[in-house]
Amino acid sequence: MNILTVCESKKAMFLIRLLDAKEHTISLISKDRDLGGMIADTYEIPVIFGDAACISVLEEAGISNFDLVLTLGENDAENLVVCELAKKEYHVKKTVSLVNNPDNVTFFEQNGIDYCICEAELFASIVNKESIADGMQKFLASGDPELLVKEAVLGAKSKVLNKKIWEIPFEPQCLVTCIFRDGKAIIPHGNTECREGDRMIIIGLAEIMNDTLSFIAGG
Amino acid sequence: MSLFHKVPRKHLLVIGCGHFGFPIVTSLIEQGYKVTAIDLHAKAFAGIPLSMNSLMIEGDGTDPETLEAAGVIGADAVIAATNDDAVNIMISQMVKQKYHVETVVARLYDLSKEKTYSNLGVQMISPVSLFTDACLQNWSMAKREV
Repeated sequence: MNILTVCESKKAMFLIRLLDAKEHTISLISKDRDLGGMIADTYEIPVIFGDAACISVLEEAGISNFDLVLTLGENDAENLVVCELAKKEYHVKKTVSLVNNPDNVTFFEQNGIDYCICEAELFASIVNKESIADGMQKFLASGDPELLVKEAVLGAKSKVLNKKIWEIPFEPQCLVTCIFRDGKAIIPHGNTECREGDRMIIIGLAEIMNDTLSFIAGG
Repeated sequence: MSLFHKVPRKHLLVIGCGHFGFPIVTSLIEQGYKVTAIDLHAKAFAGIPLSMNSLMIEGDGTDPETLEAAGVIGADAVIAATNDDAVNIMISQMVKQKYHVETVVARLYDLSKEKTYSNLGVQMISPVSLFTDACLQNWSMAKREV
């Protein structure tokens, strides 16, 4: 795939390292001459110095030849304008953008950006996910370090998908206490069916917890 | 008939209070408009005459929360006057699409992007083009006089 990356931080270097390994053809537009020079030397890819939100810079990079444009800048406005120009003027098939302000994600999506990545949202979702199990663990305060409260998210490969609780061979040392689905808490019973994306809160002994979690989440 | 009938003041938002935005804000306040100015740095507001009808907000004009705090909902016009074309474009797009502001004016250095956003209903103004056009007009008039 032909990929154009727009970035002026070290994120570009790490991303290019990963993408290069998958044998994509990559170009970079960066305002940072030192970083751009280093990336050009290390990965032997074309690097254009300048403001990617300028049509002349995009054309110099050969914007029409790319299948994907990735914008990873710290300036949401620049990320948005680059993606819009790529799509509307040069018919680039896919645009992926970093959105720094979570409040702007919907606005980006409404304006045709195919994938929006918001680091703040990702961090918040991880913290919030953790907090349910962690909060329960603190509340429980059993004094027994062997008793744990953990959370498992049901992935597409989960072995318990579409099964009822009674059908699942759980270890006797654990208990499914709650399932979070579509923002609502369900107190499960034998006939509760497990669905993809469900967040299961498990109370159990440490010795069986890892196996139980990987069994539920799916590999 | 009342001698003192109230004329509602128009509320204008100016985003960017640098070399370009500052005189706009000052002039609009002097003309009696209700003006809210937004800039990333509070020091940009130094020297703006204090008025009951003006409000200065330190913040990011591309942030919906800042725009809403500045009263974008119901504003009569928005002027995107930062020194960054992409920021001015994003603000214009946002206030048109999300907040349905009727009159939106944006400053652009590089008019090559104007075509992409021509259907937004935003008036895009390039000070360089205006100046060049004025020079050429004066020059052609002077030439005619000779």
